[in-house]
Amino acid sequence: MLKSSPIIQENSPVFVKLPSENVRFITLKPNNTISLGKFGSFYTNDLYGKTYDETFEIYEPKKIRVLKTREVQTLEEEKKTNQELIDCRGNQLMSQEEIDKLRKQIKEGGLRGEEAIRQLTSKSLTFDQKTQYAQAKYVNRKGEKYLQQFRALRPCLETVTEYMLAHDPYKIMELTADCSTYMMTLGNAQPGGRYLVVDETGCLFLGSLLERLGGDSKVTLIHPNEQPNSSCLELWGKEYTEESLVEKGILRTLNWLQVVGPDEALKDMYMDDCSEEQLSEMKLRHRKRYEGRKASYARLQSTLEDFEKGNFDALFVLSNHTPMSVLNLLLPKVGSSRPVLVYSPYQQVLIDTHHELFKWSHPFEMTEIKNEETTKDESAEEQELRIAQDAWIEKLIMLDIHEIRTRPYQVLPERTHPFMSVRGDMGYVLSGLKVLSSVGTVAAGRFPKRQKQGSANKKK
Amino acid sequence: MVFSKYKEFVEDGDLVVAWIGRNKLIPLKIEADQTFHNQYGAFPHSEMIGKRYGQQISSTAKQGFIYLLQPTPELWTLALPHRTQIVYTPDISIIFQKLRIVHGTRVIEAGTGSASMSHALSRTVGPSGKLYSYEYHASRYQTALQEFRDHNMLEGINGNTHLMHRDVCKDGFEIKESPLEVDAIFLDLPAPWEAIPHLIKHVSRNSSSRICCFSPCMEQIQRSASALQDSGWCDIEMLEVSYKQWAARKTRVIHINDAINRLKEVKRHRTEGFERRKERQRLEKQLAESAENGVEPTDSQPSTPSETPSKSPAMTEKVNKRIREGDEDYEWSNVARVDSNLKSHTSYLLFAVHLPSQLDNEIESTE
Repeated sequence: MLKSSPIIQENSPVFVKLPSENVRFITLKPNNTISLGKFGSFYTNDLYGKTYDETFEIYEPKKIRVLKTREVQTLEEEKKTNQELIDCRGNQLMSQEEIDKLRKQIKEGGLRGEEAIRQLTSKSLTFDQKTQYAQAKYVNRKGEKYLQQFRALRPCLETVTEYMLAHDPYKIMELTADCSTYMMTLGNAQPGGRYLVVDETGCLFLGSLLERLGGDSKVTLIHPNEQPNSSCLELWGKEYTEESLVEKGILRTLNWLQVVGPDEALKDMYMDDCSEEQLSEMKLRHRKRYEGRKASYARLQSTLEDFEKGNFDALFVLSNHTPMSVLNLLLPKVGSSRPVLVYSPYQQVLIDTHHELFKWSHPFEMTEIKNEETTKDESAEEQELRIAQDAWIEKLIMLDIHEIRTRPYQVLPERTHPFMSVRGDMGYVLSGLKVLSSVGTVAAGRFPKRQKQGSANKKK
Repeated sequence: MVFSKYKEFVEDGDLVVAWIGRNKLIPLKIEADQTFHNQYGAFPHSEMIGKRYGQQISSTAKQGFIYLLQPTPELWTLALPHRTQIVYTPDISIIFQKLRIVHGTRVIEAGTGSASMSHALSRTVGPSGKLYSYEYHASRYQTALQEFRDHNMLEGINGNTHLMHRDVCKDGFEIKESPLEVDAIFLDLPAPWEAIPHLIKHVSRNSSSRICCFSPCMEQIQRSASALQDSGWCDIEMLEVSYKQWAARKTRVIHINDAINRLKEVKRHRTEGFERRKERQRLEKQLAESAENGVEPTDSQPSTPSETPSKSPAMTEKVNKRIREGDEDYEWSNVARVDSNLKSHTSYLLFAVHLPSQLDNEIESTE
């Protein structure tokens, strides 16, 4: 369940990466032609049965095959410099008409992209004077325009996030793959777990989480609209649509009104049962609607019961709403000794949340204590002290704000260095661990009379 | 499941991670007759059995406390006894993202080392995944084997991990039981280029496989990149992970007028004092002259000093008084400070992809 195939199939989602580095998302419907503009076109059926992540060359119009040979540059000692090189338009001897003719030939299939590039380099006055590194860069740049190739990338945390960051970063709260993976790892996300998620990134994080967890886990999503905004889920394919996930029992959803007013919510949806007689008299579409509504009610009821139970394995919050307002409602539902993760594009939001969480506490009903202490004869004071000491509160420890960034390097012989231009990285993560603290407990070196209620230890 | 399923209460025989203080986590194997001692006092294990995970426990002398935490790979990474340099959670999470480590992934790891990465891998790939871990150092292998057994990771006891005592650079990765085929490879070795040629037998035949070479030095990275290219790997890229941890703090809001007013007060106080001293000196001189001349001083008493120099609020505030952060008598602004306890470089992460189409080329070139 939820294990995606490495083989491209009918209606598979594909991220098509072009030589220009642009990426397009395509669902490969059967018997279609996909046009990639100047890079050529192909039939969707021809990709079925092929492996994701391969490079496909369009060797003739609309004919594709897997590109097998990869050019490896052998280097010699470089003696040239660019001291005498003068950059100007006239260096390229081919005229604009001749170049346009090349393009036309490529499109019609009479000319391969590699051959066109060879012609361009041979007609360049300065090409031979360039260093081998500059020559390689030149050929690569031409490749970005003329090669008839594409990569068929598989949807996953990395490819989906990269795509969304390039196309619509504000829709996903500028969430990077680095932040997503870090939150999931700190949250101890694992198959079979039970998680509570607030996700306003178009469900980009939710999709990433489900990809990691698989189908045996249970995730409850809380959202601020009538229906969840799950536009990113479809990028993982049809198994990840909301309907499919809910159907399989992997995903449960609640909106905030249902969270704060569960009884009202159930009442609104309630329908009296129809008798067998009434059912048999209904038109098919009315009967279907009745059954649909009954199923929705049952689902809401079970979701609310499960939510009420609490004790979730982790809480993930990625929300535009003030985190503390969300956390006040959801922290009591997290289990003890379980992590809480909050994402924000902005550090200041997490700093403010951190300060409030440091002070946060919630009374806990200690219903089961297996090692009960026997109460002996005690004075009224002693009894009062014992009762105070027996009062338990939930709080958070190990509160930290994390900043995680990756710096990509080019690794080429004689040319290893960080890349010159990288997208400005965003995003911070706040983590904490839920614990149970005794009101009466005293930290070493502190004195009872100076204790403020509910804050026994000044250390986090 | 690594360690054990999430549960609510501590039982005899459990592994617990005790939180002692900031950045202080200690693993405890719970045994009913044992006691844990630290600077805060004695904590008998019998007091812990039956308590909830996450619960606070006081020492017997009620002079301090600990929290009992349920172990996770992330807590284990911070608490485990180091046998080698370990891989920390920020690097682990980036590696999982790039290698696409999810439920069901089949992974090779060499070397096992202190097994920080091993615990995280075993947890994430889950029951439908597999971890093949190799360690060449005999005693580290034994320690890891015991740990994997105790932490429910070994395949024989419901886990998903095989641990092998092997030098993969010399003897490769093959296992007796069956042909080994994996989706992801993590190499944390001094010379990954020696292990890379052995891997071609074990990359996936019908999907892409990914590798990460984790090396502290640039020279190792360059040599590994070269070996990967020779072996038919593509999409070679390298990342440097930079990680910072921030603590939320408060800083005082103080307008510069406070300092200006204080200086004015100091000046006023000094000027007044100066005036009073001049006055006193004048009177003393008068008295002395009168005594010499035997004349009654005109002023029998020195003029009463002007009212005690007033102390304004600016003066009463002790400049070096220790103000507790967040003290409600003052105004504060929320800020963050970088944690000083940080590693600025762990290793470079070199990644590459192997595609099935390259396998034919490999077969051609080895023939």
